[in-house]
Order: sequence, then C-alpha cells, then structure tokens
Amino acid sequence: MVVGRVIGGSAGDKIIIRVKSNSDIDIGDILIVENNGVKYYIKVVNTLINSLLPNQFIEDIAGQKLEHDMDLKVFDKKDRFYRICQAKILKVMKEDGFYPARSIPHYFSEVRRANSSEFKFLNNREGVSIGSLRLGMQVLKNVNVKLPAKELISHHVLVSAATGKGKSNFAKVFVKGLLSIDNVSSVVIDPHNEYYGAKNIKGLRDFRNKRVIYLTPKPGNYPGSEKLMIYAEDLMPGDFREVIRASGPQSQAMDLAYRVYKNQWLKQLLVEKNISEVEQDMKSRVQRITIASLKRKLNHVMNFNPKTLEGLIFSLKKRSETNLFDKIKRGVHDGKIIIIDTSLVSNLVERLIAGSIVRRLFYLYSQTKQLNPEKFRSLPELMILFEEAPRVLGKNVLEKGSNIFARIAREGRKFKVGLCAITQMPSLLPQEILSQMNTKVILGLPSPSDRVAIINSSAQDINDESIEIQMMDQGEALITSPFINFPLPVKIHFFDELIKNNKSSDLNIGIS
Amino acid sequence: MMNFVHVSDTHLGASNFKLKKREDDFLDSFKQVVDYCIKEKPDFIIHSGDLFDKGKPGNKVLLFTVKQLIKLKEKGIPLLITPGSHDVSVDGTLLTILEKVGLLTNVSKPENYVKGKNHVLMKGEEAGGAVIYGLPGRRANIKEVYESIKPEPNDKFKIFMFHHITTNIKDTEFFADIPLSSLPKGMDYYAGGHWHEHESFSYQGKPVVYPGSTEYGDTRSMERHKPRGFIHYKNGEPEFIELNTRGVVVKRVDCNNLTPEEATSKCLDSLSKEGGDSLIVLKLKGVLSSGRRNMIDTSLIKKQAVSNDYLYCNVRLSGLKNPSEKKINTNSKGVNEIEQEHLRAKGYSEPEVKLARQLINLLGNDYTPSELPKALEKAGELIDN
Repeated sequence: MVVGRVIGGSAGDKIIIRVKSNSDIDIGDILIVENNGVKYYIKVVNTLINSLLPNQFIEDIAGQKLEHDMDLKVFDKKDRFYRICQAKILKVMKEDGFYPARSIPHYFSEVRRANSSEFKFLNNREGVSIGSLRLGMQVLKNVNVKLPAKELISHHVLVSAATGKGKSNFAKVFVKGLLSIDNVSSVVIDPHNEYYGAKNIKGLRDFRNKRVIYLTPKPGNYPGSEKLMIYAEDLMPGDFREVIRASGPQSQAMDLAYRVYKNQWLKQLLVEKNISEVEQDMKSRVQRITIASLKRKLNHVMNFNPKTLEGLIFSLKKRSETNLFDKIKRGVHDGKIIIIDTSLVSNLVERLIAGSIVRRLFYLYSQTKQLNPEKFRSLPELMILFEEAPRVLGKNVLEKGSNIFARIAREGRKFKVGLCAITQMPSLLPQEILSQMNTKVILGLPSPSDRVAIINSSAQDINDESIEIQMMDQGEALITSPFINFPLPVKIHFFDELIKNNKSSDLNIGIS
Repeated sequence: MMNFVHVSDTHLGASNFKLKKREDDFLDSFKQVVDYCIKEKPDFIIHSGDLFDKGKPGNKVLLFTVKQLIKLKEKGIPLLITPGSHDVSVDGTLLTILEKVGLLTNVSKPENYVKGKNHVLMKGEEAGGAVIYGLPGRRANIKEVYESIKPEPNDKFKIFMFHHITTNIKDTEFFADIPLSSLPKGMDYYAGGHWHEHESFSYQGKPVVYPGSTEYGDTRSMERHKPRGFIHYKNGEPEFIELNTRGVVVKRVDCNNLTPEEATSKCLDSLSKEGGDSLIVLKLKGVLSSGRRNMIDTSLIKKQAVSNDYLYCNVRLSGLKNPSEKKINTNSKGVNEIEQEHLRAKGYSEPEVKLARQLINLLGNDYTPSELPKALEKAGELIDN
C-alpha cells in the first residue's frame, strides 16, 4: 500500500516524504522505497504538517475559525494541506543482501508499507526468539525476531532500562531461548531468585528442561535443583582479594598462609590457630595486627557457625562431594544453563561467589585455548549473566582496581566468554566498558544521561531514536548490534506467556 | 561378510599456521581415503562427523569435496554420515544439500528420530547389508538424548555412529561427553568421532572404534604425533589404515646454560639440511645462562628452516626458562624475601634490590587516579636519590 512519495533528502541524513492524506504514519514505522532495482528500508523519525499556502493565509484561516467561528471550506484541501515525514535510511537491500546506503531514491519514488515477508531475515533459524517486530504503535505478531545468540554472547550484551520496563523479563526470555540452541552455556548470577522461579514467580523451572541446573542454599524438589555449598578448601586467596579490599600486607599474608597451610589455609586461619600460632607458623613475617584484621575480614565474609563450621554457603568441613567449581565447569562443558541463587546472601558474599566461579571459568577457557586449541573449539559459547552491572563494572568500582568481569569485558570474546550485563543506569559504566558491550538491548530509559551514554556507545547510529527510547513502554525494546542489519524495534515476549505456550521440552536430536 | 570403511574428523577447510599448503594437506588426506576406497571397493563408507572444519566452507573446499564425492558415487560406493559439531552453521548443515543432490546420506536427519511417549525411536539407513544409526555432535542434554534413544529393531549388521567422547579414553580430561555405558546396546560396531586420535576398545563384546582425525589439527597433536588414518572393516575385524600425511619432526633442543645466541645457533644446527617439505616443531628446554628467551632469534630459525626445505618451523619457547626463573623455594617465606631472592638471582646489586623493594612497596598499593601522580612523583624521587 502506497503511503507517500519521496520529495527530497540526502543519503547521509534523512529523506523527506510527503504522506498520503489517508495514511497513518507514526514515528518508528519502517517503510520501503523501491528504486533502480534496490530496496530501501527506511524508518520514520519525525512527522510534521505542511501546506502549499503561505503562512500568512494559514494564520488568517485559523484566525477566522477562532474569532468568528467561520466554517471555511478550502478548495482542494487534501492537495494543499498535508503531512511530511522525515525518515532515515536503515539499509539498502540488493539481490545478495543488505548494504549501507550510499545512494538515495529519486524524487517521487513510491513509499509503501513493508510486507511481513520482507522481514523474514529476522527469523534466523538457529537464533533465540525474543519477541515480535514493532513498527511504531503496531506490533507485527507474525514477524518473529530471532537474535543470533552465539555471536551476541561472546561479544557481550548490555540490557538497560528504568525500573519496571522489563529488564528481567527480557533476560529470562533470552536465557529460555538458549535452551533451544546447541553448544551454548550460561551462568546466571541471580540476586532476586527470579530466573529459576519460586512461589508466585514463573521461571525456567516451569519448562522442566534438564539443561537447567539451579544452585541454591535451599534446594527444593525441583528438577536440577542442587545445594549451593562452597568448601573453604576449594577457595584461594585470589578469590578474596577483590572482595575484602585487602591491603597489600593483608594480601601478602593470605598468600603466605596459603603456602604454609595449603588448602587448609582458611580453616587454620579462622578456627584452628590463634593469632600467636599463625604468627609463629609464618615465622613472624606478618605483623599480628595484619593477621587480626585479616581474620576479622575473612570471618565477616564467610559468616559460618563456629560450632558446626558451616554457614549458609560456606563450609570449613572436609569436602565429601564433588567440588562445586568442578561441577559448574562440567555443566558448562555440557551446555547447561546454571542459575546461582544469591538472593539470601549479602552483596559481599555474592561478589565472592560470582567472582570465584567466573574467574575459574574464564581461566578454563583461556588456558584451554592456549594449551589445547582443538579442545577449545569444542567448548560451548559461555554467557555470564548478572544484574546491577555497576556493582562490578561501575566507574567508581573500576577506579579502585580492575576485576574479572572487566577483564572478560575486554578480552572475553577471544575466548568465547561473554557478559550479559543488566543495569538501570548505564551512565555509571565507563565508556570503555560500554563500547565493549557490542549488543545493546535498550528498554525505556527516561534519564537523558543514561540515553546519551547508550546512544554514544551503540554499534549503530541511534541518535534519532532518543525520543523513541525515552517513550518506550513496558516490554518495548530497541536492539542495536553489529550482528543485526539495523537497530530493531521489538516487542519482547512476555515470559509468563511463553510458559503457557510451551508444548513440551522435546529433545531436539536430528540435524538438517 | 561386512566390508566398509570408517573415517572421521576430516575437517576439510582446516589449516595450521595459516599455511595454504596445510589446508591442501587436509584435503589430500581425504583424497587418499577416497582413492583407497575406489581401489579396495568397500560396500559403503561411514563418516562419524566433522567432514568440514566450518559449517560454511569456502567454495574451493566445497568444490573439492563435491568432486571427491562424485568419484565415490560414480563407483557406486555410498557415503553415510552423521553431522559433527563443525558441520553445522546457524542455518543448518551443508550436508543436507549434499544429500539432496545424492552425494551422501545424513543418517541423523530429523525424520530419523520419532518421538514416542517414553523414548525416541532412532531409525537407521541401510547400506551394503547393514543398517547404520547415528547421533550427531549436538551437546545439549546429551545424557538425556542417549537415555531416550531406542534403535529401531533390525536383524541386519548394526552400526552406531556417534560424535562424542567416551569417558574411558585417557587424556580427555574433562572434555569427555558420555560414559561408555551410555552407548545403545545390541550394536555390532560403534563408530566414534570427535576424538582426534585413533582408539579402539570393546563394549559388550563389540568394537568401539575412533579412527581419529585424518590430519594434525594443532601443534599439541603434532607433538603427540599419533598416526592419522581410517578404519577398513573386513573379515570381521577393524583394521587401521595409516594415511601418508606430511612429515612432522618434533625435536627437543636442550638449551640449558646457553646464551640466547648459543641457543639460536643450536636450533639452527638441529635443522636437517634437507627438510623434505616437512613441518618441524622445536621444543626448547632448560634454563638460559643469561639474557631472556625472547632474545632467541626465532625468525632467523624459521627462515633457515624454510631454506632447508622445511615447510614451516614452529619454535616453542614455553619449556625454556629465563635465568631469573631458577626455582626459588617459596615454602614458609614471606613475599618480601621471595622478591628479594628473585631480584638477586637476576643479578641485581644490593642497593638495586633495596631500591626495588622501596618501589614495590610504594607502587604496589591500589591508587585512585587522583592519588597516582603523587605516588609516581615519590617513585621518581627515590630513583633520583
């Protein structure tokens, strides 16, 4: 259906379209212009009204209507009063695919609405289905948007939105989508216990898929649910360094304790030995005050019962089961989705758990790549998902020292390890980190500083979409990524609806 | 009697060291398999996955593969394959296209798995009096997949192709996928893929065979240098047929107590005058008497190797230690002591060691960007004094 004709513009900026009188064109609509054998995909970024009459006459007519209530009939009204829209060229489609626009359609080229079939390239067969294409106010339910998950994962994803706009819903939809992709794995750090699901909260457990492992301090009778218990003998000084903000001498004291007591260092430091004994064992190389403050800091994090030698998460007892870290490594190798429930622990403990797991996984990948390239190729793409990203990637955090998350942001893609960072305030992340997050899922962001931070670091130019980003409703998203042809406006699936429509967790075996 | 060839992990399109000749080597190995089959006339060929190195190989590799498969087709030798982890791209597998034009049979196409209430019926493809089942190199829910499949009953000789590593194989570390007991029972031959070295053992009295890859995929596998080949099953026995792959020479060069110049010279001496177009891996060992290992002139060694008619020389320095890396006993020592000992071992004088300690203490702290310039200024003063 023709909705307008091109009347001007430039390839580097926008094209101008006169809109047909009975057509409804909204900001955000994606339209098609065909010219000289190529197809221009254009997006409406502004609309305005215009007239062939001089302004003086228009003002006169308005005055007559206002002051004298005159019912003036304008001759050839449709021809003389009309709407104009400005549209940016998203991409040009030629026979063999999409290209950046280096030309512009001619005067009077027809502008029409796109057919659903013209978006079939979004239905990437091995992609993760995240929602339906959204054109302005309209949602094309039959245009399923699938994102190329493997490419996205290792090049990092940033999900940003104000409260209530649907960050967690998107993340759950995306992780659920990974269940149908082979050779990917994910570790989800879940501070609100909402990914696996709980009473009155729908989650991945509702899909009854055996790829999901749920590690929680309080496991239930759900499939894949296992106890999250970390034994002190499996922890190393490096796990604590970033968490307890150890001073130089304290850090060195931890290293020395590890060398003296081996994997019993925490037990010896915290339970078995008093300060004098530790001092003696370390041959007085560490001051008593350092040992005392180190013990206090470690005790504060570990928080175990001195009688049972166990806490909610940590145990000083001898381990009689598989090392948790090995269990997670195994799960990652097998392409599992591993959810770590940290809802019952403090921020500090959450950082210790997340850091120690993520560090081991990163080293597994980086060392395997170096020492055993053939086996590295068989490791799945790994996505580390975490909420409230500024807690580990914020400017103020990284100013005090780098950490494993920042290292993965910089180097992870070489090793098939990617981050999926979720935040309400992207402006708190340094520009360097924002630029590394190649795919951005932008839900509604009312704050101008957050919008500027996101727009300035996006893979595609979305300067013209600032108003759209500000006004997006719950579940509406704009996605920019080097792995999609142009910024995609999407209505994200509602996670609870996916559960209703889930037929079964069929095993997908064959390949064609 | 059954007469078939079992090959796996041909990785067509792969290369090493970005050398075009190495890409040709992978293709040549596959050609050797095809030529052998044309000569020996087995009833069929089975391939346990990773025919290609990438889901979308380049046109040259594709054209080569099509030509080889046409040769087999013209001789009436069917090729049956289960897709490996490398045969799949985001939009499916190229093997489907090759199947559509009649050049091979994908035994793992979706219609060969019929979902029932409690299990998945796995259908096979018939060839040369046998029925061939297969599981492709998917990894998701792999244990559940193995638990759920039930082969469709058949009285013929039954072959099960799979692209996973069983846990009983040594050196797989944690890369093994499934316990041996996961394999479906009642088969006559288990044709494994994904593990790149030749292995064979028995399961319920029947052979489980990994032919291994047909070329060396990385320097680690070159160092291990297990033979590359394929299996010819005839007269009730699997026989490993070794391929004629490019020569690979792995030499250990003892550089203990040598200077970098002497080590370079020893490496040059270790090159044979006639490399015979082979690959050479030089593994340097020991502790240098002075200098650093990055002072070894690897580019000169590589150039000399090429002029001595080697295809390529890979110089591995990871086993060679700098003189400062003499082992220091760290047990029960403080960090300060270890650092001082380390610096003394590197040949620094006592005043230098003292200055280094002061600098480490000063600069080893975490500074905010605003504090850092002051610390650097102090460090400058220390050095000036």
